Amino acid sequence: MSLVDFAVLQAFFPHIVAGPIVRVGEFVPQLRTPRDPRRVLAGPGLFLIAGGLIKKTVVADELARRVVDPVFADPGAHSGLETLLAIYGFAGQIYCDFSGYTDMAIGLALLLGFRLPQNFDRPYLATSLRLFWHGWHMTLSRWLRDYLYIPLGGNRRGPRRTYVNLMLTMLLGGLWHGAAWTFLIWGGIHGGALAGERWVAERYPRLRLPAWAAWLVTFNIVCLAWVFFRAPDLGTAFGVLGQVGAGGPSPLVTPVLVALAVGAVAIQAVPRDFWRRAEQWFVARPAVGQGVALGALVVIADAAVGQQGVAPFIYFQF
Amino acid sequence: MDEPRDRHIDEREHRREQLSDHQPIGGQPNVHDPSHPGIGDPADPRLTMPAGRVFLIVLVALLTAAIFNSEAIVRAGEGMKPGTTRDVVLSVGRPLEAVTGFVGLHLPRKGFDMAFGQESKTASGTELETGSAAILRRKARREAKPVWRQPTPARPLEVLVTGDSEADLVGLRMADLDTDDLLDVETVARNGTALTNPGFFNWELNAEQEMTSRDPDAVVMLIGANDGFNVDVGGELFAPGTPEWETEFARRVAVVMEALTEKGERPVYWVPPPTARDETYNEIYRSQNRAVKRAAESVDGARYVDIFSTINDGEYSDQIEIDGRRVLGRQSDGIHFNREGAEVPARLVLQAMAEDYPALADGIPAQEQPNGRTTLGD
Repeated sequence: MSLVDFAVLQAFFPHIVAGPIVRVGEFVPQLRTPRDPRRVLAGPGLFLIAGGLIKKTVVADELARRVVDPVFADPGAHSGLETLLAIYGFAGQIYCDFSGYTDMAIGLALLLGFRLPQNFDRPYLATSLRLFWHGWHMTLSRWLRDYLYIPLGGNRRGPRRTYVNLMLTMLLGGLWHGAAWTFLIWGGIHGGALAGERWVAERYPRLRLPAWAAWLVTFNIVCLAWVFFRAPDLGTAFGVLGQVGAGGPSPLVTPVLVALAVGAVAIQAVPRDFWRRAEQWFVARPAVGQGVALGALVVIADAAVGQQGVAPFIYFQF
Repeated sequence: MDEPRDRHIDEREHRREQLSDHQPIGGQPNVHDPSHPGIGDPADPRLTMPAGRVFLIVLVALLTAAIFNSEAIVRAGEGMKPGTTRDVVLSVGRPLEAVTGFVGLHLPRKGFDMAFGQESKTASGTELETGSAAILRRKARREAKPVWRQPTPARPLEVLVTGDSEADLVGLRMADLDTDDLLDVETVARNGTALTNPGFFNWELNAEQEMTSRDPDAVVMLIGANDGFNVDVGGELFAPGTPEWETEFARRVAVVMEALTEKGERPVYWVPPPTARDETYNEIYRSQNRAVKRAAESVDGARYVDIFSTINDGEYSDQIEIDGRRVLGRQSDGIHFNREGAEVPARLVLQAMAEDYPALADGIPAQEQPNGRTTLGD
């Protein structure tokens, strides 16, 4: 690899701030062959940019502003229903915020003729923690696997050491986000659940939960861990969790917000084929129609943002 | 003999671990795998188009957005600092707005604004734009002792720190300095806003909306750096630096102070700009400081916090003294504090607040002045 190749890889603007974590072998070979300007993957590229924009401005920022931030700022002042909506809402917010950013990065790169690795693959449909990490921030999880888990010995040193390695990897993964107990607990929950899952599978190989039950357990463990990830300190995290059973009026629980929180998860269940066909349909429309449709989306996104400005992407801080 | 063989197996297993689909942590995203959503198969002509066409689509999209969004473009332009960018944005935005407004193309955007529950921040007929200077002739009541609820760690004071971009870092540093957990600081910076430009952002209206929705115990208002516009008094325009401008500015400050205190219900600590590197700005900021002092004397609960003459004796310097150390305290624009420097105005605000909330006095380091004075009790 030449110095120029290395510099281009480091400075390639779509992925520079917050991933996906691109490996040399994935990017540099693309610099070696000329990009073909007659065949830009604009169907997926434009879809990813538009989808990412809406995920960020409409879903993530609305959930944050209207329910997640108020509840995490003052857990004691909110009812159980509001707290639950904030917990599930944050799961939707962080997915739409972060995957929205990587979607836009990947889409921009596609318009320039480059392919970046996919970073999210329907994580909230996972029926186990292991599968969750197959679909969540995939380029970080493979980094953790190849540079932490495997050097620690992976699963080659017996079951006990495997559990320890899983735990250590996730604890360090948690600390990577910041030196705080909350991130450590977040990593601990994931490490513990990954190890527990593996233990159960080895101990009771014939035990099979129905898919819906496995999904429910997995999703709720992920959401529980997110509470610690979002809370500024442990007191707030436990304050939020302690408030789940509280009564009282719930003015923050509106049909629109519930729809956004549910939609953030449900959209992952849309079959891939649907998006592929939609992209093909879009590519076949006249250019002016395509432009007007995208312009209209920008207007909607700008209206959602309003005069308070766009909240920074969550992962910019890490 | 054994050792190399072991290593060989190890490496094979290692490779298998990397490649297997059933690893406990993470998958192996493959950039060339067409089954990955969104990536697509480059050989599929139904997903590709020539680069020129993509360029055309993006151009049409931007044009569409500009036409339907012309009002927002003008609003954004009006909020910018005077300069070439502002001139370009407004020279494109204003004619576009005139045409689209006439045809009604601004209506879809208005509909979306309503759908997202965006409150308008402009209005006509507010007191901020036109009103009597009689408000400045009132005398604020002076309490012998603090009358507001005192903060405790169990029930901290809810403080809204707002204003223009200067509010951001000062709010942040106030929260940093609050080691006794007596404050619950919320910072809402409205970048680029000013009192002399209510057509872009009406602070009287915004103050009413914010006080209704947030109802804080106290407000810190840092504003003025963008206030270089002429003001219209009874149909006549006055430029900054004239006595008429200063009086009109004081009147506007008093109007917003009343909206924030809600007739003395909570204290408002109003912080006009500090010194600036550019002497033209300095003149305007000096005039603002006089105006805010005057306005605070006529509104119940309003306090003037001076960060102009109390920092470096009113002389601009990129460096500020904090606890005997000189640090680079200003940003390159010669107006804003940087993160480190913002500690100084944050201390000065907290010291002003400590006069109403004595419990705050314990935790705040006094801000020493170069001549040995401290701002406490000056």
